[in-house]
Amino acid sequence: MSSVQQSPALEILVREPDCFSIWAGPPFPNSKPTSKLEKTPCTSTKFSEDGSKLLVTKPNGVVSIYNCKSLTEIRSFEVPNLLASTLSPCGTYLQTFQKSSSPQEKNVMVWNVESGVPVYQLLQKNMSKTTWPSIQFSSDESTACRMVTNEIHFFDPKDFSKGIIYKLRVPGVASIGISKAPGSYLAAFVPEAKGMPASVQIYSCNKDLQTQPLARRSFFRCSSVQFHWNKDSFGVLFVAQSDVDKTNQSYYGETKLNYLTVDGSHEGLVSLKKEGPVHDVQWSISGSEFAVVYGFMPAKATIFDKKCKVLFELGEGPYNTIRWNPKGRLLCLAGFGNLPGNMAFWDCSEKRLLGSTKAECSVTSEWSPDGHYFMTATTAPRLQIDNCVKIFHCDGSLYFTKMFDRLYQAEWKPEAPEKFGEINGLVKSLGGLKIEEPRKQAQGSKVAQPSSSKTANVSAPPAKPAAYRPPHAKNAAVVQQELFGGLAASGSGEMSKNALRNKKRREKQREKKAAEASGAGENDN
Amino acid sequence: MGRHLRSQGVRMRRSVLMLSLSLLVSMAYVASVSCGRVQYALSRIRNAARELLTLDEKNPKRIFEGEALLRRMKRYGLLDEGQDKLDYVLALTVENFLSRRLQTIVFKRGMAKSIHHARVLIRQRHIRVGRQLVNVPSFMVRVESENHIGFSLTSPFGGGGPGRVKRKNQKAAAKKAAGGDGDEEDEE
Repeated sequence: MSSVQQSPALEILVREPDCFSIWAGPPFPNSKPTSKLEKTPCTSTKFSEDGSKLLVTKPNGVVSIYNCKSLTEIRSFEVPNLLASTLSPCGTYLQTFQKSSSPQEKNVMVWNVESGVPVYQLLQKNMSKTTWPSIQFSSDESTACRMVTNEIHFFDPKDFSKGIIYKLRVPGVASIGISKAPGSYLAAFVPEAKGMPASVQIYSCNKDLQTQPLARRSFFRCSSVQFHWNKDSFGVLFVAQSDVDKTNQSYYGETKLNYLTVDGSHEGLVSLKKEGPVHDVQWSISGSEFAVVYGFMPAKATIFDKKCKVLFELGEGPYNTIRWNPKGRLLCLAGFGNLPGNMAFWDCSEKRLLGSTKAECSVTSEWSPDGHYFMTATTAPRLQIDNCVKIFHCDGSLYFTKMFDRLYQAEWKPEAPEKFGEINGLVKSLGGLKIEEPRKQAQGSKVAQPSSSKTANVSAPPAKPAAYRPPHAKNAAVVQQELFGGLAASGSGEMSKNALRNKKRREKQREKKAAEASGAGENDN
Repeated sequence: MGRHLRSQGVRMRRSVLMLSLSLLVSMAYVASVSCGRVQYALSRIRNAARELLTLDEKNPKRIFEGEALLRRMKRYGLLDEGQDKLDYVLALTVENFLSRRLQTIVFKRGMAKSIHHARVLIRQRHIRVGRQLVNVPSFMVRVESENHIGFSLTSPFGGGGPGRVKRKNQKAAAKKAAGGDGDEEDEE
């Protein structure tokens, strides 16, 4: 518990056409965000992975690096014909890609941000998804490598002037993924060639152990691969996608989720109970479990531990996105994109649903670094109307929303989750809730009824329009009450004329009868 | 004896014709004999289940043999975990059995380009289940072995050396490079 240390403040970056601004993060005083940095002109912005530096591209090929603590510009680079730029994870280096004007000119440059001096240059003809950034770093910048045809080149991130320290030969390699933290492994994907199956191999980044792959998995029917490394580099999950589905079940192709561990304890498919594409797979922040959303809609969601055993099932529902809370225990299952935007918040250690809500038409979604808030944003150019930013609490209740005319980007400033305290206050308040335990086979969407939670925190679904009442229902007491209000309430005092007359007549008849009866009785006696 | 077998074959083929066309098309790789074999196995299992269901609920034979039958069905992946009554055995179809063959499973897990390729790979000794090389396309895969299907370690697909054809071509190419000026050695 870091009670002595101050937790860093949250910050949100909001980019509109031509300018960006930074808000001081939630909680917002007066329910309005205060601006830490006023609107500054830019064409694109990106934080470095650890949140220490901000890369701002201005028009005319000027790249500025801001220090995020003081929000002042520390360095500015002039790069003509700039096509793309990116920061290394710790913000030490800046890579830029320029349109090459002549075949001799080196168009990828690596600059040292502190000194402003280019430390490395190389020539790269074109840029594609697998080849940008040209030089990939691990999260702690202990390893840097670059993929070229048939080889992988390693650099020393502390000193680029040494050049290529060593090379790893992998014939036919098409894409690589360095393990994040620690950065000591490399996964390489070699696509199918001439009857040989596609394969994914794990190599160690250490030069001495590089002759043989540590682990290897071969398969057919795959055209591209996405890697997801674990936090402590225990293993890599990769999604093998193919554009054509040979089983003829889907027009969009097929995806398969495989898991490869570094020590070879698990090599193969992750056994998923439902057929269909793998929509999303995410490791938890601690790296000891991962969640998968798979299957044709409504998709199933399951959490596995890092030995690939099922931990528990989250049921079925219209979900295709997973977002793990940086503090580890909470999980948001959401259906964005072509789905209506249902979001379900789960507590994974207690295995129950916290709340659910809807955020229609969201494009991006992210937890705050301290885990208390969840922000979704509807951004242009994907959606040109209804651009907005919505911030939810971690149990799904809406906290703040702001509409924009046009919004291009909205994201949190990244911070290490360790700097923030646990979400203890939340757990205590949740203990008082009476939410029914969801059964394992229960449909996710059925369990997520807002009426099952008894606090006011959970936001109700949007108010239904007033019910239609057919004409014959206008005599119902409720409607009478609404229509005649006070008149009906004091009915005993004022009755209608007919009713009064009938009442008098009945009373008279009763009296007459009573009189006759008594008279007859008297006569008899 | 021969006549008996042949008539059995005729009976099988007639019942195979009764199978829906769609099933045959999707499982087109499977020879009609194999389909018939599966149908025969299925009908014996169904007879056993039906006979057990006529017995009393607490009959020891029903309990013992019923449990054994259900355990076998679950072990081979024909029944799920939740289906633990004999009635589910009666609802099994030929498709369930055909989808547990090693040939279909190799294809479904992405280890082969097509279902015919899967059969070729199995027959050509590229596939292992656990540590054991399996050469038989109709191998019924158990649920616990399903995750242990991979390319065999000696196969060129699974990390072994190059296969026979490649070795031969490499030898020929090396010979050509080395002895190109001199006389051409006899090529096997």
